[in-house]
Amino acid sequence: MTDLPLPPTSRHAPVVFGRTIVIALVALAVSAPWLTDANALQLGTQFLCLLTVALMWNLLAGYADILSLGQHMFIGVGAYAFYGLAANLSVMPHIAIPLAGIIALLAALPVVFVVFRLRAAYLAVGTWVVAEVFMLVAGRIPGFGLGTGTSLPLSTAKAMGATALDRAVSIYLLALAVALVAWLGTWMLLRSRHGIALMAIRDNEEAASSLGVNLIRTRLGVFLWTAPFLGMVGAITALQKMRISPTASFGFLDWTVFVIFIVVIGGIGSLEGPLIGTIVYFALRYALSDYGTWYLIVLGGVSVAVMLVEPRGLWALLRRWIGEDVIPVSHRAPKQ
Amino acid sequence: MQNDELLQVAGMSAFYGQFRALTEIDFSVAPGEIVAVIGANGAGKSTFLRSLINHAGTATGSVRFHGTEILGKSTAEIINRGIMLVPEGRRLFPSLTVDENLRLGWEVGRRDGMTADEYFSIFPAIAGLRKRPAGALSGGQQQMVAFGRALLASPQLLLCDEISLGLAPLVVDELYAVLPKLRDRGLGIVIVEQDIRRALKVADRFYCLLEGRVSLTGRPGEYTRADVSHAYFGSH
Amino acid sequence: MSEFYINVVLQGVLLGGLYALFAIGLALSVGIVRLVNIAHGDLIILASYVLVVLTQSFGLPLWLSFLILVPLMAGFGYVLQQGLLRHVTDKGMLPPLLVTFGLSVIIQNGLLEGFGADTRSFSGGALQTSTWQLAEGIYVGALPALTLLVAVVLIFAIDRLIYGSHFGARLRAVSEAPATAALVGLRVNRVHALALALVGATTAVAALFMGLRMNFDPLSGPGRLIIAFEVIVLGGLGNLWGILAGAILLGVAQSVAGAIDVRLQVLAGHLVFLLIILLRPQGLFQRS
Ligand SMILES: Nc1ncnc2c1ncn2[C@@H]1O[C@H](COP(=O)(O)OP(=O)(O)O)[C@@H](O)[C@H]1O
Ligand SMILES: [Mg+2]
Repeated sequence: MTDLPLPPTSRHAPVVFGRTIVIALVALAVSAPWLTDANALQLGTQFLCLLTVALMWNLLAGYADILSLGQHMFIGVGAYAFYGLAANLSVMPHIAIPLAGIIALLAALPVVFVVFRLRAAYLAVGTWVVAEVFMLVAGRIPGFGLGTGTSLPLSTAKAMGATALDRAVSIYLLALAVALVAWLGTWMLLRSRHGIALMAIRDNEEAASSLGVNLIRTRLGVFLWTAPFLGMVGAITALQKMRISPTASFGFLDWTVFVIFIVVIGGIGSLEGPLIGTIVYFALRYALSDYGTWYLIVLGGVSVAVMLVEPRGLWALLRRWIGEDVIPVSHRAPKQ
Repeated sequence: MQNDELLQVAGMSAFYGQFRALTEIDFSVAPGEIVAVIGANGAGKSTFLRSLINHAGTATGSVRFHGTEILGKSTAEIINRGIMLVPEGRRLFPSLTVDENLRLGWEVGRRDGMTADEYFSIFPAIAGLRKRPAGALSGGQQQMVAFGRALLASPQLLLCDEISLGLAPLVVDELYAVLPKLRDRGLGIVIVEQDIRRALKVADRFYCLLEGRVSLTGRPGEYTRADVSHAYFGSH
Repeated sequence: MSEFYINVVLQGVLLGGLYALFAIGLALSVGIVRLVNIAHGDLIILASYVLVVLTQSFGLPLWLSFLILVPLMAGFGYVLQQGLLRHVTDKGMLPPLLVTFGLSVIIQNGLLEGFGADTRSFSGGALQTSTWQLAEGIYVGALPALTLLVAVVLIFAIDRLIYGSHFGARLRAVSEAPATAALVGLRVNRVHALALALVGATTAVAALFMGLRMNFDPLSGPGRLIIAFEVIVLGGLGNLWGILAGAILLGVAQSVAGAIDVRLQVLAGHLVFLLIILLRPQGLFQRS
């Protein structure tokens, strides 16, 4: 068999193409406030929020081998913390959002303590139970609208800008900031010593533990890592909707069901997967918006099919063509 | 001559993913014949036995049983046709009782061979333990039950993978004493052993595997110890 | 006053009967097929809607509908395993969870599409209204008592099936060591499918009593799953009678909390569950 020498540019073309798309998307995201209107920015905010949550869920399921059905608990905690700070204590929204992230992290500490008593599939349903508890408790806190929820005061909205467009722009930029920090932070986490440990777990649990990787501690750490980002997404969503309520802020459908479909379809265990999945999700939602619950059925059906045919999702198919990661996380031997 | 064979393997290779564990094995067993397969640890002996019942990686080549090609048929079907394995490490169901373990063999098999009564007359030590969980038995007793599970499936070809492993010599003697009786009933028997002497003493013919290939085959008396040792360890 | 609490506890015990019915099928999935079936609650709700169709669209009496439902659900369980779940049964943690998760969403929204979001229930005539007086001031409803009785009988029957029959020995063999089971010629997929048929049959029983005792709608499945899950974790896996104990504990916790403040009922159940996994993660009644 003869080895036809490929010109080096053609071998790398798909990767260059992929990276160009990612950079173009980031550039588009950054310049969006100057290009579009308030409605598009609100959609963009939703996109970035969902993308961030998908990234976090993927970090758990795809790298740390933790399947959680309860990550929406931290979204809700973030939303309620934001309401408490911004509405009840009149903290500036820009300060209340990171504080909401910190409160979500604090809430995660006891959660970790409880749910990590359960293993594997049990942990999945256990986190769901904890999320239910948070939601039920949130509906009983005086001053937070009890079971029906409540609106944020106008002063909070005014703090974000004078006009609807100004507000949409500032909220969008907040979402963009959180999304970018989440992505860069997670990318750096994956390239760190802890990230190598995570990928060792993913690829071979026995080998990882024999290498002395402390599985439990690494997993706990990743679980905690996701909480502040989810909390900030919850805060931003509360700010955007100007409302909190137990069922919406702790929305299982919005923040766990869709997120799982996004990651499964896009590709578990990669940084590209959540991005692809979120784009596919928004496209499907748009295309099937006239068909009511059918789009949920389609999403469910597609993700079942993905698990049967290619458990690493659309990204695995694309990657075969591209040949390497568009967003590289693994360290390679240095080139000569 | 060929038509008399119970099992006829030709050019069989076996793979675990990319890894080739067996290369072009030719092998046969006649009814009433005891064939030993010897070889060092990792030579592919277990892979060979398990490939015969389609329970190891993927195999290519040809495996004929009573002249019918069985390669690629399901384990359950092959067992039902009359090949049964006594697996390495016994592999009983520890929480099931002895009776339940034995009964599973009866249920998956042909039911035209050994009955439970016959089995208990051969291994009277087990008769008193029938209601015990298999996991509570000694290693030797467990091996006898594993034997029983295989025999009650009424095999015409019995595959035994390292039945002496980890057992006291007296117990091993007892197990090996049964093999000629089974041969006299017309069973073909394949025994895999690392203990060469013991295997060659009871076997009519032997095959030596080295890194997945047959490195020597014949009758035990045909070769010197040096020949066998060379085929066993390779020329290092 | 003490009669009040005796009644409350008694109702909790009887509620446990219903919760045990939810949990039996999940315990079998987990115990035999090693499948934490996220769609378990939705299977119960699906079965309830089949009963709705049989009684309301076909006008059949409830008892006859139920007799039809049992084999239907058993068949559905069998086909579900053979057609779908067997492809993920031995593929590690994520695939089975995610496939049953997708299935759960499909069932919920399929029912929503077909039946709308209205809540439903079945009418069981006098059974639903009659109560017995056990002692001065202490009452039990006929239906809750029957539910508990059915749960006990069902657990007894399944326990005998699993520990006292040849088929049960196969189930245990496959559960204990699936690879060995295949090695000695058991058709593991078929045994798994039969186990899911058994699960399906239990969802039919759960559906009947759930619909007689409470309202349901297409999205009620996850709530049932969570209860079933809490029950099997509390009861400790591998012990069918532990299910009954776990279910009764959960029922009593909910019933007592509900007597104090009705909005606390569900929360109290979850809190008891979380408290117990903190103290005894292996479950309350795990052997050894
Ligand atoms: N399930 C498996 N997957 C991958 N490789 C295997 C597996 N089982 C055995 N092997 C490899 O196949 C070769 C033969 O193994 P085996 O048949 O168990 O040898 P033996 O029984 O002669 O000791 C060894 O190199 C072993 O590492
Ligand atoms: Mg071996």
